[in-house]
Amino acid sequence: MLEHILTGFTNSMMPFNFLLIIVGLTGGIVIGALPGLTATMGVALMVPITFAMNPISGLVMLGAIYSGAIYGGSNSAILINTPGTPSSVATTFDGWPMTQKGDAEGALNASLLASAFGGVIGTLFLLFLAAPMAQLALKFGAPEFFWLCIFGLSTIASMSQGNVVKGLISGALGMLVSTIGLDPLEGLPRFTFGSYSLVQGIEVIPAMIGLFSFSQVITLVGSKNKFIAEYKGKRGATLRVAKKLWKDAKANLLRSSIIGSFVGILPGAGGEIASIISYNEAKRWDKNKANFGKGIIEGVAASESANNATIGGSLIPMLTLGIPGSAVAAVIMGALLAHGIQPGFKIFTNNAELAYTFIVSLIVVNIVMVFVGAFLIKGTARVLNVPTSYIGVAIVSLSIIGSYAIRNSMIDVMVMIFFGLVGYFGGKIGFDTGAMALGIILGPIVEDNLSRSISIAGAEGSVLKVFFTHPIALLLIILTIVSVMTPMFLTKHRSKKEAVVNDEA
Amino acid sequence: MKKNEKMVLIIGIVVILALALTGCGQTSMATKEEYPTKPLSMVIAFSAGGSSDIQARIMQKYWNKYVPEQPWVFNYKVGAGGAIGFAEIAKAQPDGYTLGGLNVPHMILQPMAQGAQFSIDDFEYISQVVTDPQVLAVQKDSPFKTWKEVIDYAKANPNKLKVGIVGTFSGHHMMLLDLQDKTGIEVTQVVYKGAADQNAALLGQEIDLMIGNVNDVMRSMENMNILGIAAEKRNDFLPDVPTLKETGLDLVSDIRRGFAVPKGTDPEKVRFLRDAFKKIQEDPDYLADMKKAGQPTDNMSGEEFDKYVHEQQEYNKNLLTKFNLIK
Amino acid sequence: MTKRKSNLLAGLAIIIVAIVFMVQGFELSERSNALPFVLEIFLIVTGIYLLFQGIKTNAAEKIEEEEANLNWVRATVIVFATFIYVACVVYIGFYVSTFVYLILGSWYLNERGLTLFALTVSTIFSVVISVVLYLTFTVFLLVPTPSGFFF
Repeated sequence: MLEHILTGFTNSMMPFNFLLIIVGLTGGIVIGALPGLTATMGVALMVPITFAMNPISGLVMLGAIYSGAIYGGSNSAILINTPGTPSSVATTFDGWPMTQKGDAEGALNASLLASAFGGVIGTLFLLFLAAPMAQLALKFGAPEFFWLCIFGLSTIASMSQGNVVKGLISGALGMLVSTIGLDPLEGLPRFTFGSYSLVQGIEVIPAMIGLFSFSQVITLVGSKNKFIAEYKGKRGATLRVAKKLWKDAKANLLRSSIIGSFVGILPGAGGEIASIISYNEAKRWDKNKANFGKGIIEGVAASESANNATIGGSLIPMLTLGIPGSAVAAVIMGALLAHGIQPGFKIFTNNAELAYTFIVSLIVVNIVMVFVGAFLIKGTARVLNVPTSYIGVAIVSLSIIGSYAIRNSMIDVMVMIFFGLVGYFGGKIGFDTGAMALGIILGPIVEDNLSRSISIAGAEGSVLKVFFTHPIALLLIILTIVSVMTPMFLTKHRSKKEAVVNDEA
Repeated sequence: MKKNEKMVLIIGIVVILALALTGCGQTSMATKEEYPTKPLSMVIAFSAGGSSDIQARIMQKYWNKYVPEQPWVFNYKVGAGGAIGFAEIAKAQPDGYTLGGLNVPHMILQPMAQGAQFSIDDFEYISQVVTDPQVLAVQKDSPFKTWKEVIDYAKANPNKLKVGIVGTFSGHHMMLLDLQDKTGIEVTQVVYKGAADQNAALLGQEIDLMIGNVNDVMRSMENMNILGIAAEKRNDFLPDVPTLKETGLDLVSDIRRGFAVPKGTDPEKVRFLRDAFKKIQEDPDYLADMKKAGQPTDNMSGEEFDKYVHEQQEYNKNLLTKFNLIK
Repeated sequence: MTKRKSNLLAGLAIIIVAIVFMVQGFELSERSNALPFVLEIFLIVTGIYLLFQGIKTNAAEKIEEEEANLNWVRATVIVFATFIYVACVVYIGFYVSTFVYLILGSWYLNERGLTLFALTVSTIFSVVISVVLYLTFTVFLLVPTPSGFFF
């Protein structure tokens, strides 16, 4: 195996492949940063081009685009509070406050380094633990998925401290909206309000662009501030952030990356869930929980390391079983097949050079990403130097094209505008756009797996057995309870503390 | 001055030509109209990189070989299991410049059960290109070795057998209904969003039996036993798997892909497209590319495909009525 | 806005949304309506809770966030301009509408006032952005944009 790894490394360093890595990363980062253009779209766009190359180079480039796009989503999340891909929703929680505080550079670098770290950890899992991880993915059935989503949703409780009720309401509203369209069980239209256009449902990305981005524009153009946030380019930000991460966030990064790798192997769950869970876990294990959401590096690092770690994870079931762990992995599998390469455990023996080069190249990709990303950050951060009067309208144009691009539908543009208004006015009366986005993302997965679990329970004759006896499910239930109880406990604890302080004063 | 005169002359010629051409559209002179004179819009109802897209991309390569004058411009109209894209084709200008991929039985079931905004009579069918038969598959360690054992178990234990399918009102759903209809078994139907999570569920033994397409299961032969294929004859990708028919169950079920233009397109243009698609599908390189990509080719002319779609309409209608799924 | 007003409005809003969905769900089968129904009930219950909270809280208590900063006129104009923009995208195409929207929008918002100089800056800005968008989306990424009468 070691010799395969070495071959893989030499292959990735060949000038042509190395060039593809740089080009793929740059393209991927740009695609990821543009709201509405997803990693899936970026990789799918490039697949036809790889047909002209040898399969190894093609795969190396696709891997670079995939990694770049998942990282790129954080740029817009940090700079304009708009997650470029759904995987970066949790990045806005701390990334945007950091920008508002004038430390956009810190946030961007934290996201870059964390992404690269997560990417490497995910790839190491792929390299050394592919077989056991694939078996684990198969143990993960509908009830486990259901509890995983509930666990993800429990984040809302800790996210919206001080206003848990409105946070929960926002999440429930998001889930309710996500039920518009064809119902997953019976395949019949629901809540279409008499309009066939709604049969295709509310697409997550336009809704998200609206909630975050368009509502943000309304605030921006109405504000008296000349710029989105103060920004002064400082030298050596990467190094400063690297030191800070090493000092304060080692455990956080590792934990988030492991969570990301595990969530990545599950078909039907990806970066959007991994980043939320990791964010929540980072917060729980941190000594200064209250600082989360106010703009700290740890929050950005948790979310971004997790979503890049899902890449390696999602390739595990694809390469070993022929079952893609994410939409992007499915597209990459299509490219493999078009080259006449069959995925499966045999790929590691029959096509060892290809398989190992692909995997090892992902490590190279993540290292190169630090340099490419650091270079790009210098340019992207300048967005903050553009006065709001210009940037505001430009964001609107970008939001429209991004919403449209998802499936070439004007309905999605209208959905975006509608959710922009919902986000803006909802925000005024205390609703939480982040929680609502979570509801929209997780709602369909919750319902899908809930109804599937109930079908299975019907056949097994016991609901209790299906939902509460599987070990992984039990573990998730316990985690959920802990997650919900911690903030409640905290609030009590804090109010006691505050009472004491007040007495002293 | 000279420049202006030239301009007027050119505009004049263009106007006359345009008038002549539009005038001729209704007459037998149509044969004189050149086609295609601009790029064709290819509507794909599924996301880029998916199986339908890959098939069309392979086809595009050979379209460029046989009709080098004008390329295809891909236009993805995704949503509602393909219904949005199919409707897009149906509602396009019938000028021969919009064509698109259709999937059967999706396009038959959507108007029937889900209120989709088109009918199977809204198209001029160009050609069928793929038939992907359905199979019955179990996990490698499953106690079931033949489909008969599965049926016996299901008969002895009503509603205990968990059968995984992808989507409701899909090809899988229809096959399951047909199976239940022909054998009289009652099972628990477990619906998945996509083949990936369905295959994972079978390997993880969440379900006992799964209905899958050849294209989805051919890569998992190490982990699954295929009990039978619901086709008239054995499949090149799974030569050792017996058909259900040869083992005594008269069940044929598949998904098919074809191409169509909107109803009312000039018959000459339709003929042109049918010819081009026929040439593409007879090209040995095309067949080799399709085989490599795991796409089971099955060429059928536009006329036959049209007839097939209408036959399937009747078959599915009967099945759904029998199970009270439509009124 | 006071805390009281925000709670009353929020409570009322979600009760209305929940009831609208509930009415829509009447004709659905039980299985199909199961999760939505649970969510609707949850929203109605919490909505009523918010209403009570609203009545209970002191009418004078302000929400922390200050919003005197917000210029309502500018925000409203841009929102309506965006409505018109979206409508135009359908009829005259994305790039032409974007070009016009960017000029007028940024001109209106810029702080130098509606001067000729500012208009020039806005035009240059709009040309640059439109060209960059065109190159990125249409030339490089081949992503279709909504096209209308003009391209």
